[in-house]
Amino acid sequence: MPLAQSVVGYLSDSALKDLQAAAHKNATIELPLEPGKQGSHVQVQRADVDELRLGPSANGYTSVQIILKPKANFNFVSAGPLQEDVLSVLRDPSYIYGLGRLQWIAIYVGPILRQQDGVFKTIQTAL
Amino acid sequence: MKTLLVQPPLTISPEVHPPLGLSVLASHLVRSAQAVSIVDLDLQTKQPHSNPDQYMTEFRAALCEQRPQVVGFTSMFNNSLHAERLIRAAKEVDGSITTIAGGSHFGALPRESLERIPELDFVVRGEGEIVLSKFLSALDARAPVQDIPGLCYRASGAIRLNPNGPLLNLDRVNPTWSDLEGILNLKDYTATIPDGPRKRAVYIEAGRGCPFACSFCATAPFWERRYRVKPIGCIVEEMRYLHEHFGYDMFMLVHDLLTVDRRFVSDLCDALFLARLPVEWTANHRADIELGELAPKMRSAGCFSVFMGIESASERVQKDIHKGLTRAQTMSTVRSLMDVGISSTCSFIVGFPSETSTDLSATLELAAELKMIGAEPVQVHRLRRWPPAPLAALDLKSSFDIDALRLEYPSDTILDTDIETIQADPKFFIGYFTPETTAGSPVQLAQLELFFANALTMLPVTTAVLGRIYGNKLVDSYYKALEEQGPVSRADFHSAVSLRATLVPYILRWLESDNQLHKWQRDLLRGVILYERIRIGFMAQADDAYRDAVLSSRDWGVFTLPIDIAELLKRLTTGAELTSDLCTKRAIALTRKDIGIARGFALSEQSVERLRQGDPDLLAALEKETAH
Repeated sequence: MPLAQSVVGYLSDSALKDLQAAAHKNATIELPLEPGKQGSHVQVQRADVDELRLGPSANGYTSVQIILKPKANFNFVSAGPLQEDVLSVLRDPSYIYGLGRLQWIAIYVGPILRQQDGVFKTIQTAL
Repeated sequence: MKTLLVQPPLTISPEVHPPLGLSVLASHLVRSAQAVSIVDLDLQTKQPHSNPDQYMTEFRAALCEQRPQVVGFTSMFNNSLHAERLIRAAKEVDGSITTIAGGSHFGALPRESLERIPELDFVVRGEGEIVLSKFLSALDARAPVQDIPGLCYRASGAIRLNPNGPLLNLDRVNPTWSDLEGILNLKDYTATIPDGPRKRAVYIEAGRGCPFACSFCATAPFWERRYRVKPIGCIVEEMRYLHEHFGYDMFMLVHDLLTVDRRFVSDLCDALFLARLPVEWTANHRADIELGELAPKMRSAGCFSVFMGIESASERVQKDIHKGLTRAQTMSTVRSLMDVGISSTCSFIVGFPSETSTDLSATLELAAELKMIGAEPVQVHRLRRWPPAPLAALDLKSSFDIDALRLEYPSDTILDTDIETIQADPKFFIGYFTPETTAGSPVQLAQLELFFANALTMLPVTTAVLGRIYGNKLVDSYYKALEEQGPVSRADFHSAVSLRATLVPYILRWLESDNQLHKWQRDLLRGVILYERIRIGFMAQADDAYRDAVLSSRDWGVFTLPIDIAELLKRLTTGAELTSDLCTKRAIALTRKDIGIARGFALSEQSVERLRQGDPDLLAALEKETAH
């Protein structure tokens, strides 16, 4: 089975609409890792996208998986405000889970959209 | 045949889950055209008006209202005495009622159950669906019951145990919950879930049976060690139904060891992708089963956690209990699961008969190491021997253990008569009798379990450093401290702050009295304890959260520590040696987004000075970390 790389995150409904409709082949897609937050995101060149898979939507945000073309580049951008040479994060597991477990959801399925002539079109409604 | 299935009180937890065993049984009976209802006395006793005997009142009321001809009782081991009282009450209310019992306790001890309880007419041995269905049909038809496999009863003054029949073919079962409308009101259960951001968790059955033969395990032999799974479509439909109708979004897939069949789990993940349900799930796993590429697939299909029984760090104990895990496998598995975002619940058992205090020290050290690399939670349990576990069949010298009973009993107050009843029948209540072990006395082990289970949860870094510094003498040193300081009480551990107030001074006194430690080791431990005391207070918003702060705002604080905590954390997670250079003064900043949600940063001296002088960039950076 061929393997593909993908990146996952959340887009607002309007950003998702723009992403599907816009025809800028060279544009950069910024995919936030948490719904409604820009602090950390993944940058992907639109031309490098093979498929878009949409997951559940809640509160105006949709989980998105971007399947990348072979050899595509992507950048993980952490907009953390603290400089590593001044402050460095303590790797204490207590901060990972806190006094309660982090909430996370990750199910990415159809519809699958594929870029054709700069526009994402649905190629399959469900896997 | 009008049948009432009874769930006795089960836990003291205010949050109640639908009774899985009875629900699966009821669904099967509904499909067999039997008239069945359920009374869940675990749920009923959580009502605000309830008192310790409320379950009996509720049960009698249910009998009078429903007038069943057959009443079926289930029991985990911890509530079998409550079940006994209910069985007697059923006959008192209406002597014509036929009583039948099953589940893990009665089903594992059918002869002993019939001998103990004259009011009990029948017992189902092992799996219940087929036996109960055939039994009710036989009663309906006034047919004899002597040929029903797995049924146990009295006949001609003797107890007759029919041989077990074939196990249920789970390939053909139907979704459970949608069959139960009118039988079980699931909204009553969701109403017990506290308001808040937590997910709504529920148990659903994915299958039964584990092929391994761990000597302490009662479940694997109960299901005859045969791995079976329900149809994937059935599991997914149950998840969909419970999510869409009742808002459940966290599913505990009940199966002794689901990941034995990786192909099945892979197919289940595919089906969950298709289902597009915004839900999470967890399942049982074993540290020596290689998941490989299946792990990220599970994660992306919603698996957030797996449960693994590690039991012991000692290879000799692992061999003795027929488990055979190695320390290296366990560390590697937890690390690789963490890499894909799946947390590991790691469970340890203390008090195996052949275990020594050296074995136990290694186990606690491994538990702390796993915690440091991200296992969550790490559990420490004392050995319980419940039939039909092979260990329960051994004739081991053991003694009654009131602490074990307190942990299991489904109510805060234990009836004196129950204690007497249990003490009088060690065979039937074997789980409350602790076998002798070279690892410690029952009191020592009870205290060790209480102390380290809480220390691992609340003071993981301190526990890890204790493990590193004491090595295989950890438990001996702890026992010495226990002898000097006396026991702690479970009542002291009801919140993070009270836990801190108990554990921190306890460990400090332990260190003070140990003159074998090097000065730097004592200083390092004191520094770690200070760090964790500050962290807990800060995360829990305790009154003294900023007591040690050199600078603070509403949701952040700067603290100076006598140790280099960042370097220490790095060494604890990489296995590097702990040395005296860790006792170097360093500052940290803690930032908090909400109660329980915080981050920590190592802070340079220059940064502390910049903060003192009101550096707007650094202040803004810290404030940003606290944004709610």
